Amino acid sequence: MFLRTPDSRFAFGLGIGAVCVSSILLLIFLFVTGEALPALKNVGLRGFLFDDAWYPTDESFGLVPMLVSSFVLSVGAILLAGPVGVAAAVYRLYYAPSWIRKPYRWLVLLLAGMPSVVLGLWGLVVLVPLIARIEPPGTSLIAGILVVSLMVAPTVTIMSESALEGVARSSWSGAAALGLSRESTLWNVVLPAARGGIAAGILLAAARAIGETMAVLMVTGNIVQMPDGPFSAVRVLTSNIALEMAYATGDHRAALFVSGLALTILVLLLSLTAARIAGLKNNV
Amino acid sequence: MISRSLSEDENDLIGFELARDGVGLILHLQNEVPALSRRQIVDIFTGKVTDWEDVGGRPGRITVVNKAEGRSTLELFLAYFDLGVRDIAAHVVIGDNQQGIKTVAANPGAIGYVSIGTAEFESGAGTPIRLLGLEGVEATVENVKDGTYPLARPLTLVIRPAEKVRLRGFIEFARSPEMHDTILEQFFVPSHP
Amino acid sequence: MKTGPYTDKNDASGSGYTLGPVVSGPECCTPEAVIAVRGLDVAYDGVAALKDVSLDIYKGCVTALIGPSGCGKSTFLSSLNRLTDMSGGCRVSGSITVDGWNIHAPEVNLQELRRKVGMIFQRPNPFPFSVRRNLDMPLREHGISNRYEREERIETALIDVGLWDEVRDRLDASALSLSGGQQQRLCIARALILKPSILLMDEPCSALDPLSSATVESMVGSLRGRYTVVVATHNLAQARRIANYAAFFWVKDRAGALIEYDTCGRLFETPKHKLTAAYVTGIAG
Repeated sequence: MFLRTPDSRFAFGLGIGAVCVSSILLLIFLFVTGEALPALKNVGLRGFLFDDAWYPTDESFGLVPMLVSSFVLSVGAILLAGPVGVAAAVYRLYYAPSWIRKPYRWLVLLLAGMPSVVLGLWGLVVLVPLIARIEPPGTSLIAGILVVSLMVAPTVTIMSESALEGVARSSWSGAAALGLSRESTLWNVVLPAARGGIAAGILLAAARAIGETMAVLMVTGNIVQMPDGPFSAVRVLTSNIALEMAYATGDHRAALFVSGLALTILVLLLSLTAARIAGLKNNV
Repeated sequence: MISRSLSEDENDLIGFELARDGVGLILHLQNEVPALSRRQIVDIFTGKVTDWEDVGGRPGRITVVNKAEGRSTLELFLAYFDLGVRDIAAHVVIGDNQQGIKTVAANPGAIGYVSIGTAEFESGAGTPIRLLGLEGVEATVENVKDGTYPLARPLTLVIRPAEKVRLRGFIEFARSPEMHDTILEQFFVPSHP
Repeated sequence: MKTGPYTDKNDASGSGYTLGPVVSGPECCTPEAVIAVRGLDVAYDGVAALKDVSLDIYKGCVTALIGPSGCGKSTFLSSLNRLTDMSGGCRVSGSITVDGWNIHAPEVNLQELRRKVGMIFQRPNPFPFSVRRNLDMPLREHGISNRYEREERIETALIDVGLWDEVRDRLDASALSLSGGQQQRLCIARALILKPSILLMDEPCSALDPLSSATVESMVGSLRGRYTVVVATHNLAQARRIANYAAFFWVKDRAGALIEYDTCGRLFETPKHKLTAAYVTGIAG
């Protein structure tokens, strides 16, 4: 009997769990693909790429502006949240007075767990009117970037912290023995040594930024158009699905699944890259 | 449960109208525009008029808040004003009524349209929005009820034909006077006496 | 008024000692103390790790610190370049002078002290970068801005540790892809490249396989005369092969203490203390 020992039973249970999770993922992917198929057949990839606009009830299915908006919004959010997130990790681990460290960590964890609707509401009620003073109506790409960067910065911080803490103690003492100051050790040894983990954290944050829906939906205005500046209203792929799915039928519904498929593939690629980078770091 | 009648290509389902809901235009409370004509509303939503000054208000940029495609409120609105989806020059697109109300409440230059029942409740609860009358009829639940308010939609209970016999009792109950209080609580107007 | 050697970056000392080849045994080195330790006590979080150690380290010689694990050899080493500062809760008292200068004086430039007193650890700890960057970075950090000078010093350091021929074609490969012995020699090169006058080595061979260990050991032997080397080791045979002087540490009253200090030959051949005799003959330890 192969399930004789407690260990083999435990392994068997874990195996079942792993199979369940991965098959659920696979089923979701198959489902999305299946639902998207009619639109891919009727509209064709050409339609999604080259139609002049997105009016699905009027047989116009141009997805490109939303793809571009999703991309620009995530890149913008990462450009903001990346450096800030890493800086927060470095500050907490190496510079913060000890009485700040714990509350600071709680704060980061709290922000990481903040429901995105709450952040979106804050964005709509506080941030958007502020931006509207510069350029009405305020619901804009920049509002989305700010809200999402606030949302993903804790991810960067938490991942960076574990990457930095993973840098061997011996690297610190090695650097100190070479007469390197703390600043120079951080810049020249610790941050470069943790670069894999930090990059993985940033990519994970990017995946999260692309996948974010509710908060973005509330603050970006959701007009389907190519973003032509920080104040232009944009609609991202996720918002598109959330806005229209509830009442979409026929090709319209299938077209939304196409944007879902595009999104899934994008996030999958980002996560795989993140895993590869993190893996590379561990294998050298 | 859908907030429209069944369309023709949905003939594999059966619908029962339970109640009616009016769609009303909403403005920020600070917006002092007294009323808008059908022409003015069309001009605003198609982007021909972009400043409140041009329709009798105080100067300020107009923010057009539109509903997302597929929403029955949008279809109703378009049909009533005889517009196509491509004609609307929106600045913000929103999903549900709550989001529409929050968007207008946060922007003194905004104009949008949502369910009258929800808007009436929110404005009663202190949200800084106000409902705009249409063609001389005030946008109130009362006027939706007595049929004088022109821009209204049916709320339809949808079932599979196969379940018709089994659900008969439930459907009768849903359309009975016993349900009126529940429907009114949701700011809708019962369709059956 | 005299200024300390570690407050001035342009100080010319550190060019290395040129006592010439030194053979093992008592007569070979000039008994000129370059490090003087007096009444050194070290405690971690109030627990004594080293008590009342006094000894002189002689210029250009290899001094071996021997004794069982936990007898304070490592602590003694890391107090010489003040690496003890890195662990919070570590208290050091007593006096340590290097080249006649009190290393605990407030005006001491810690970075400069550590440039002069290099250190090699038990486990090779190259940074997870390329071989070249491991050596280039410390040079840049110590103000060598001329790229050609840095390249020259990298080559010299790698030749000094016998690594040049092995890595000249893979200077841009990750240092972590080298073998353990190569990594340790890279770490020694990394210390040498800053032209220290003193090298501290904490069991530099104990994490290596016998072959690498022999290579590193013969390399340490070749440093004799040019550098003052203090090496902690639990390998007695190794200590006898490479050291001029030997210091025997032992745990006394739950804290590390120096039991006997003498020339290597005398400590192993005619120990004065019975604990030393027992340890070097393998009876105790």
